[in-house]
Amino acid sequence: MARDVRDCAIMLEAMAGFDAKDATSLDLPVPNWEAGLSGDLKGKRVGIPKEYRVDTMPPEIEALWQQGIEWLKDAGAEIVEVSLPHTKYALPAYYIIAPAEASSNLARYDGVRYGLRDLPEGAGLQDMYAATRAAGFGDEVKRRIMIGTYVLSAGFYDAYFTQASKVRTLIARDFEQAWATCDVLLTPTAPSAAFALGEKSADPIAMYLNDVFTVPSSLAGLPAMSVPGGLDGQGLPLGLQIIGKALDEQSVLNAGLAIEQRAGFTARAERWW
Amino acid sequence: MTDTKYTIRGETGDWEVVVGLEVHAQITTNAKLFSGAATAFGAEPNTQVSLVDAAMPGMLPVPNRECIRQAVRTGMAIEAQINRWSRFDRKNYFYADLPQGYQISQLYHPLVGEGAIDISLDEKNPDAHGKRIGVERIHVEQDAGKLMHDQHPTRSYVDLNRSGVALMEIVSKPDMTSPAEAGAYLRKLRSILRYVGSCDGNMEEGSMRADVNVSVRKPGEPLGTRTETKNVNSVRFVMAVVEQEARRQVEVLEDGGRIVQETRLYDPDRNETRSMRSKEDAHDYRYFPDPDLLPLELDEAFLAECRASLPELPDTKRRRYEALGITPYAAAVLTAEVEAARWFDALLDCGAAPVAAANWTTSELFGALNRTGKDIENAPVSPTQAAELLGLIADGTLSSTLAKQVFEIMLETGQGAAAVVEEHGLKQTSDTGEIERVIAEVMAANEDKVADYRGGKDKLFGFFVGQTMKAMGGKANPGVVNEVLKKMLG
Repeated sequence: MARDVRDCAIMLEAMAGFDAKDATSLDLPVPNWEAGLSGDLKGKRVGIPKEYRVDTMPPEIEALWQQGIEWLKDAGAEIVEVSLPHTKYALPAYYIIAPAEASSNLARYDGVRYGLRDLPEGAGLQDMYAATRAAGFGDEVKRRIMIGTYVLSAGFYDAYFTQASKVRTLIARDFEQAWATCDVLLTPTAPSAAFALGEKSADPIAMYLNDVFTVPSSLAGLPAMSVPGGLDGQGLPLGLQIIGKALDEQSVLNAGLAIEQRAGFTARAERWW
Repeated sequence: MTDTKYTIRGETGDWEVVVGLEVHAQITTNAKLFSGAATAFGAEPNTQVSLVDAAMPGMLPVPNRECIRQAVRTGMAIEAQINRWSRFDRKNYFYADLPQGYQISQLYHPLVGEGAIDISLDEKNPDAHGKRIGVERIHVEQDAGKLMHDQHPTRSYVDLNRSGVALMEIVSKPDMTSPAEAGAYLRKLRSILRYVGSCDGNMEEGSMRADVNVSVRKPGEPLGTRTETKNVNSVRFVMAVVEQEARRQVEVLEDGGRIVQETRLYDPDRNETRSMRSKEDAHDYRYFPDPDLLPLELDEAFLAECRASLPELPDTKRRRYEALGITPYAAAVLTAEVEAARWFDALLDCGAAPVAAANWTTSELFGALNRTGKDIENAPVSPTQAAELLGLIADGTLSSTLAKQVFEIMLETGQGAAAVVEEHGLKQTSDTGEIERVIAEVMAANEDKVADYRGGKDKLFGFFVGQTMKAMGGKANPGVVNEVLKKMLG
């Protein structure tokens, strides 16, 4: 979203706030996050969730995570180990709930009012829907619409969507319990370095697996940020993730700043695209 | 209970009918359920459509508090469980009149739970012929748009004015067993909605429509398979659907067929129902909680405000009228429609005697309205004017005959009762001297009849009363006439 933590605070401040036309938005004052920025973490406790230590994680990422722990210690934080026992269910739950919502959210792209309309000769309404949506959506979108439609279907709803919703509640509860002993969590952003565009299109599961560390905070509705921490052997950037309590963006930004100040990450892609 | 049980006589014996109604009632509000667009009936197509109603990308629904308030008040009026925690779900299906590709409704956690509506099958004696019909639930949902097929030879147009308008779906239990009960339920529900002010109940304009669920069974047997006849838009049609559909089902079953669970449509011109689609090709609506909306949580203050704003409801009002000495029939007639009840309450507030006022309103006023084709909201006589007229009857100034004449003139001229009496000299005469003089004239002109009467033909008394009243232009006080006649005829 931004080149550094300060820009991120500025951007967030500009975007945040109550929206009367969004029933899910909170009517709360927007904090002055930029003014509150401080890389000094004295008195803060940083949780390290043990379930994020997955077997297949490359040693480089493991090492960066350890490095991150040292940086935050250096910034004055106390490190504690925490447990988020339902972590392994987060990815499957996410890939049920998100496609379910997407399948419904995208129903409005039906060729009736706006956007693409593909109306083959002699087509009826159903044919127009099929042709328009087949032509207009890409493979990954179609895949998610089909998954979402499937998990909401009669006979499958309870087994998939209801179950995933319960998992979501348990994940949120995991975080709640973690906040009893820490203020923010530190994890790797992804279990592997960035892959090339289109590289994993043929293997969507592998692609989805890359989200394993970032979906739990999304399911729980918590603020999280990824800060670049270093490069792997191929020169690809690796990130560290900070997850905070609901509405405690300040602590997330501050821990991110502490990492940024120590990582000295200056790598720039030759071309940003 | 009904005195005579409604059954369908088949070749194999009598069949019972089981009816449940799902009523869609448009909530009376200025704005739609999730947008600020207007809801007035009869506007030019697509003039009352917000970006939300047209499902433009990125638009989000925001619940209209007034719609929720009206649904809660409706629930309270039928003594239903109000759920302090409810949630909106999406009902997903593709159709050209449904811009979002889903309808926001409530399946899993409706706003209003179980309640009941007391119906009456005999308005002459409502309490003796009453029945309690259970209501399963009331939930709140969006209406869809409207397809227009008659605007262009090869294209269909879409009018989104109705898209997003708030509806209550009021689901009865399968507690009705005859066309009459279904009709009485719908009329009573409509009356309650109009008292509460949550729906105008206008079935012609589509503000209220019913899905009619019908099944038949032999007495004592479990429920049969039901069919659902959609969007029936009058009380009469609902009753016709119950009757026709029950007959059709009995015929099918007695011919050895079976009833398939299906959606049907009613054709009023041919008075029959027709299959629309069967369960096999029914939609899978893929209901799930709408992620754009938080659960509805109602606090005590909101509920208290809803409760405090409820008017006196038809049954309570009817019993209050009965307690004033008004006959059950008149009380039922006066309370059936909220406008009539409001008018009559105003009349009582003007100090009119309840029983006389009720009799006069139900016979004279309603008669005049019927004759002139006016509804009570546009009654040509105000409650104040009516109270004045009733006062003149009560104090003996007007006989009932004279009162009718005065009322006719009031209807024509819009004048007050006292002014009419004054101007047309319609005052009743109780002047004994005047009456004696007229009676003497009548007796002199009918000496033979006087002789007959005195000879024992008592029935001639009425003849003398009539002659006297006629001679006095109907203005004589009938009580005084009777008294004086008796004395003079001896």
